[in-house]
Amino acid sequence: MKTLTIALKDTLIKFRDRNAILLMIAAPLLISFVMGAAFGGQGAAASPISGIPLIIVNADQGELGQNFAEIFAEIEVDTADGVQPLFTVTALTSKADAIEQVELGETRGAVYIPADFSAQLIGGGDPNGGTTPFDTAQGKPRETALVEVFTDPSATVSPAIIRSVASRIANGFSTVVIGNSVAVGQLTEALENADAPPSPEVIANLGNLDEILNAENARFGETEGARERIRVATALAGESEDLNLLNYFVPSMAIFFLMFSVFDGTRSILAEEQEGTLHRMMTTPTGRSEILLGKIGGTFLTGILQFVVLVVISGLVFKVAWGSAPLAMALLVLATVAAATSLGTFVASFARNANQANVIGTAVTLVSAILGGNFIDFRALPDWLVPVSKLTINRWAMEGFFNLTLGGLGLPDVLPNIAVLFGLAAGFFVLAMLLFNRRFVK
Amino acid sequence: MTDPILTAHNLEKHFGENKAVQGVSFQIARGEIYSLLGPNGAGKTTTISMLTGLLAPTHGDATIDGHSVVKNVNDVKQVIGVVPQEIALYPTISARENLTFWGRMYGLSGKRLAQRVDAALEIAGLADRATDKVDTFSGGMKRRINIAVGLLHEPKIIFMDEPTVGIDPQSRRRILDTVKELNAQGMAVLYTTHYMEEAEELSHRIGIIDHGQLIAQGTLAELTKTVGENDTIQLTLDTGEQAVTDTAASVQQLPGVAKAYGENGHMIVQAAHANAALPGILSHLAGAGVTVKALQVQEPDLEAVFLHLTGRALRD
Repeated sequence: MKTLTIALKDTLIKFRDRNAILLMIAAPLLISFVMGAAFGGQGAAASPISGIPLIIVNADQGELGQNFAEIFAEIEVDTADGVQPLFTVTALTSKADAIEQVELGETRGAVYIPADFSAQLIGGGDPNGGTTPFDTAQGKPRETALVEVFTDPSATVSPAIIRSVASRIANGFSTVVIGNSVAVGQLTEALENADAPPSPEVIANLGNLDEILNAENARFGETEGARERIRVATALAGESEDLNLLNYFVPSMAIFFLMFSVFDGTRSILAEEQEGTLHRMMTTPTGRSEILLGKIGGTFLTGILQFVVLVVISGLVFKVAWGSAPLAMALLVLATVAAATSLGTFVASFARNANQANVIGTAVTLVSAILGGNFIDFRALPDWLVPVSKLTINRWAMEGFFNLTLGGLGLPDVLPNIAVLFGLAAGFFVLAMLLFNRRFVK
Repeated sequence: MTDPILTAHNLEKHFGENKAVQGVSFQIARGEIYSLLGPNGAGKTTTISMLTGLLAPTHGDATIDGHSVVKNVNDVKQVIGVVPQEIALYPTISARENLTFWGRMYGLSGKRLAQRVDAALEIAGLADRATDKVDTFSGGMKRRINIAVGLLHEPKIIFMDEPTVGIDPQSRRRILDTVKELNAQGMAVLYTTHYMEEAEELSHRIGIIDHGQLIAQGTLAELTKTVGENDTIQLTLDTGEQAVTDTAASVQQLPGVAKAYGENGHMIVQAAHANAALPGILSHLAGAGVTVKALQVQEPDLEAVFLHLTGRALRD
């Protein structure tokens, strides 16, 4: 109970502080808005970007590869200058040439559709078994068709858009193909099992091919993931709201400024130690662990409220789409704030005083933001920095939020991120408790 | 002393090689004001920190209302109130919000919490400013709220660590009166200060602490007896050191003068009543052609006691 009293007191103090409100709420929204505007637009309905140079190398001779490539060229967005193609697509035949063009900065990205793309999706199978998706119609595992995306490492926003669009097209595309191939598989099975010429029922089935395909598509659509993927792909083909650049910037800045405010919150443990209120609390009949948990709880509660306010305001004002998986979003927010709070508490536990905690906290925040992708796409980091990036809270949080907001994915897709973040939270928390225990027992 | 509220026995606190408090023992009776008097760094705050559970004693123990600060510190915290030296409040929330928070930390809730917050605001004389943020208050007002926090749960003994440091005379007067009122209601007080006049005005008994050791304790009368009952007159003359010694020998013969001697270039005269002896002394010096450049009269007080015990002035 006293833990909650302390947490609520800290939350009240934080939200009464105009400077803190500026840092927690106004700054991330303002900077996101400015960055969005800097890229050519900030309106909720208008996409600030169009005509992103993109090379497509379609090595597939089949129909599906062609369809996949065409979708890129067909995507249009509302811009300040009217409806424009999202990508300026150039077709090449050589993968190596495409990569070279990307490396030279002549284009923002390249998409490579492999030669066996159609074959793998429609009729392929994995004779050796394994962990690939299982095709119930074929009675054997389904091979994965690998579409490769290459992006300009010096670009900030367009790589994320290209990857996101490719991912959504692939998700929606494969779901429809799987559904249809199952239906066709059922017909084939019926024909193969017939000793005599096709029976009237089979012929009737052939006549009802469209109906069967639709039924199968609907059945696959009943699963949450598939329904989501089909919807997202449809939205991309005709609508622009999911391409609002603020979908990229707001989560990024929200995480960045969350780190600042959380570090400020945990630093208050040391500030209270210096100002005497912590010692005064310790002269009351309140356990030291209750006090510490209350302080940490206050920071955690403040962080949650900060994020919720940012989600609500950015959704209402900037029409930022926070995805369509509220449970996943809620868990990701909880995990991110918990990890950041624990890291801040850990820093406070070994800092000599509040000033030192402030310096260390600021340094950790900035380095984490750079490595974790708050300023540049973490996938554009040099190979040797990628493992380091994975040590940051920001990277796991950024990836999770982008999967939900830009990727349109659901809970199963961000569960690893949530698990890692909660793991980091637990680890830092245990370390902080050990160090604080040594600090307070004199 | 029968049934003391506090008994400290051989308390010691070491920080590495530094022995901040050494062998401090004393008792406080129920309803008594006991002052720990000593210069900055003497060990007053460390002693209070051990008695309030903030620091674990290196050696020794203390019992408060029958509870050991070593073994039952949580029980101790139920019966004590603490007013720390610094303003331990949250400046950006109101006086009432501060008091409500601290009341909850003392385990109060509901109607009793509301009643005690109102009572504390009355004690602080700030009921009309209850909803104002603490950072809009003067230093004295903050001190009063700081004290009120320590009274919220009606403790049996309150520890006040230099509560008048850095405030204006009016607020200081008010705080001293508050301490007297609380004591009149039966609350025991452990009051630390380096202002001897506060210790003299408030205390039933006084402990003098220096370099972590309690070097004397007793009532004001008992302590001043240790330096005798004479007033001390310090005269600064325009003569050399040898002439001061010679003049002192002649002054010692005057009526009303108990003793006169030279010390550090000054002439020190002890007399039962300085006012009665001074006219004769000044007349004698004028007749001898000696000019008095400065003159200071000191009655027997805690300053003199401290000087007598340590060889230093309390404010050195």
